[in-house]
Amino acid sequence: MDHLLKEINQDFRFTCYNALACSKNDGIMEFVEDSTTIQEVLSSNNKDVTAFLKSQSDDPARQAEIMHNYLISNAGYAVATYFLAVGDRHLENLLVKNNGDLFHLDFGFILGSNPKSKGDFWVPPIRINSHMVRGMGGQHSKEYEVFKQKTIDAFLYLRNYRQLFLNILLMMVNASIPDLPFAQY
Amino acid sequence: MDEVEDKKPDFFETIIGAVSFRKKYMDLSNYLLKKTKKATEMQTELLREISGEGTGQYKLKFDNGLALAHDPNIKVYDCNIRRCRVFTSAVRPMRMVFESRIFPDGWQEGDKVPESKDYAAMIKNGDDMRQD
Repeated sequence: MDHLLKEINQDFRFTCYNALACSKNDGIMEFVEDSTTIQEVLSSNNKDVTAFLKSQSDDPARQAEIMHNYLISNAGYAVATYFLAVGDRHLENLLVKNNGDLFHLDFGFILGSNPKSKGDFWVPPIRINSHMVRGMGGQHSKEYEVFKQKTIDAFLYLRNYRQLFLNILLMMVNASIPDLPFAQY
Repeated sequence: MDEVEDKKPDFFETIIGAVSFRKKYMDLSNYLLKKTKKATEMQTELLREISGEGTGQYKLKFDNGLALAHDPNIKVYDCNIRRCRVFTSAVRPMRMVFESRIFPDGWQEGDKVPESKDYAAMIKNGDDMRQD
């Protein structure tokens, strides 16, 4: 998705880390430096993501840049996680880098599944939570409008590639990924 | 007719290195998991092993550099021992920080050698990495 969007000159600031599975239960991957989980950010900044983003720099121009990074990475990941219906989104699977980029990790539950241990509750299709929105300045702020517009742009563009995404997923049907049970097809 | 060269291609070394590196970290991780289950104890043990003070079998030092399997442009040389750690999550993933050089695509012998900097890699044993 990152490549597709970059082709039309839209950088949604995805954090793509390299990962390589060597067998079904071991592997090696890149560790993203200078990143903190939202959980830690909230507990150390009095439940306020904006304060964390502001504290990264004293320069107002840089602060605006960080806020912009935060907005568009939020928009990009909102669309990406919506497409894949990533489950198990809690505050420790959500990280933010020092330059404002937000990113998700741990895609163990995809295509609408969620951990059984957490009960069978309704999960909103778009993975945005109140802390993330408050970090943008609330639902009535100018930033939130930018975020919404960016999300819509990315969605409408990526929707043209739905057949590609379906093909990629169909190719993996026999890979014994729990959420892609091949017996059903 | 030209004779078929009996020379191994360059990438052969890369592959052999990556495979032996995987074996090394698997041995290390299995050794640590066998010894103790507590993350803090595992960490002290890990630091001792990679600095060569423990059994001396698991020291991670590559004089000629080793290209990492998931990104062969990165060559690692030595562990930055102070920054390595073991995480407390269920499968006890290890963060290994290496002194590394990132060689751009098409780098050749004689070109400017890139600067050395830290590269952090996460090593997991016991969990399906495809879900990350």
